[in-house]
Amino acid sequence: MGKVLLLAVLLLVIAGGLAIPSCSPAKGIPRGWSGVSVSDDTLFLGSMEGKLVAVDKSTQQRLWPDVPFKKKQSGGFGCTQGTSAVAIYGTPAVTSNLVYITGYNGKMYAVNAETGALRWVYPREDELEPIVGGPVVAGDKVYFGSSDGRLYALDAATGDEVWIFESEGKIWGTPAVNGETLYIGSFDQKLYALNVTDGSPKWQFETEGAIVATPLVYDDTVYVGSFDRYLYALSEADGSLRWKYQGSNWFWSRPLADNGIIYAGSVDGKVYALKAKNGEMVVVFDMESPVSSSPILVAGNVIVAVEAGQIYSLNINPRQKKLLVNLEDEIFASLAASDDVIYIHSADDVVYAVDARSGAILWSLELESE
Amino acid sequence: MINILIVVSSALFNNFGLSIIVLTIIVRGITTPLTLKQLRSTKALQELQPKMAELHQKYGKDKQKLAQEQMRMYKESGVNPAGCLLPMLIQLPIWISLFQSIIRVLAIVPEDFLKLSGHLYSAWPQVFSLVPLNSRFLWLDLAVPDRFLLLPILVGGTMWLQQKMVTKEDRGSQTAGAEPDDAVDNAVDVRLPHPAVPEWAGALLGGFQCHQHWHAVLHYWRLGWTGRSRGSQTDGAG
Repeated sequence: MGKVLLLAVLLLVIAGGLAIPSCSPAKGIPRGWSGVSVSDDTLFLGSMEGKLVAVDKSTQQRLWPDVPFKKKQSGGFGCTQGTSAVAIYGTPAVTSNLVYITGYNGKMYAVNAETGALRWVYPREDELEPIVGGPVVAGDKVYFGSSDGRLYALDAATGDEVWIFESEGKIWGTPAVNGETLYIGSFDQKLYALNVTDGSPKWQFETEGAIVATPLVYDDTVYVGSFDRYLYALSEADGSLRWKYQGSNWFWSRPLADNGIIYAGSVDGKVYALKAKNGEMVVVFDMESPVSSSPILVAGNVIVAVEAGQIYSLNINPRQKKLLVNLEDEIFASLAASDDVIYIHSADDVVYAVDARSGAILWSLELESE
Repeated sequence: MINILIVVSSALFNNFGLSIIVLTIIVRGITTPLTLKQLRSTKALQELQPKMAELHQKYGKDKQKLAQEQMRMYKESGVNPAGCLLPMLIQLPIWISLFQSIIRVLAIVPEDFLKLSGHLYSAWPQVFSLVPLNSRFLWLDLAVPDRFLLLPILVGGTMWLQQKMVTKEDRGSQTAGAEPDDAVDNAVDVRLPHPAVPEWAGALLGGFQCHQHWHAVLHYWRLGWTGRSRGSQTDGAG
């Protein structure tokens, strides 16, 4: 009898040991790092609670209640836990009446910019693979990539599928559109140039590493960084290589162009200032912390945020790296600016408004609900 | 270890599963002398068990005397009671390092991916291009838990088998109350391999499975089946 009881206990323990962890929250949970979109007087961004937030930049008041996006979570043995917050990595895209935002739950949302009401969601049923890059609106279509390796083009007004392009690796970057051509990189190590009308490929360029960075189109040239540690300059017409420059680690963010100079941040902790024409190095700024956030141009200065939380203003003539502000809060999201004010969404889910000239923090807003 | 995993994976047809197996075997091979020492210590302690039982019977109520006699017995027989601990303690950081590297290399969420960039050696430029790794191996996606639970069951099974190989019970000299302890030991071993929801569970269990197989093979080769003997005191190692 004792042995039977012991065996029963053993079986219960095994069953519990298998079932209970399946019902417990998973580790390595994605948090997101949505950047800020500025549209007139409103800031739009995705919070780390998985909500679309609209904030008046003058008063810091919400325009409408945060729009939550939820994901159903299922453990093993049919142990469904209910819903959890969706991580949002991409920066929202804003048109005159709609805000577009993508979620790690594999869905794309279009929300009324005036009221916060959900207009449409894609796909309507089920979910795609996680979406990391942000959406881009060009003409009457909205474009985004997914971890399933596909680039989706939807009707911006209705969310209907227009075309889908398939690569051979995950797509984590945000597309870039210039005229009739869309540029997107993939984990299959290729940069694709696609026709915006029907998604047909115009050309492709193969690097030796995954491409996550958003490409930059400047002066008939496409600039994109790769995980093979190179920044590439390609002809916009046919994708032929013009030059390439090697850094020390991955290029994760979108480069910036200003006055014939390309500024490319790398997770090796440097910003490379290169001549756009031939890739000749002008100066290398040592930022002392990885750069994964895309730099911006504000008031004639190149503004760069590093992961450790510092924001710098860079100049090449004279060569100058000036610390604007130390937020003491990790920064992965891309920066935004309007009227000489820089807007930053930090890893602690706080939005900061910083004066681009003095570095003074004008205001900060914690997005986490009480 | 992260960079080694990446390079080995690339050398093995870009197969991360194979690289886990190969690296586990290599690390196991390097730590074999320590493992053998540990096994020999364990065996020596097992052989002293009948004498320990006698001492318990004789001095059970006098804890101080019991402890003295036990230390005297260890000294006379040349057995170090903590002899199996030191080799295990030395191996622990190596295994922790390997398992941590497996988890980091399989970065799934973007945050972990970014962190991975900080662990890549610039002295090995190829590692930058090799990430992300192909996480598929046989029926498994090593980045997610095994939904068929085959791997956790295999790991649990081999752990139980190994426990049976190690556990030696002489029913003739069995003291009262000893039997449930063996069952508890078995329960502990079977409980250990949780399917573990974390994304890297498949890879981790795969590595652990290799580790278990190697340990079982080594044990059997050096010590034989030193498991339960029914009615007589038999040393399975011969």
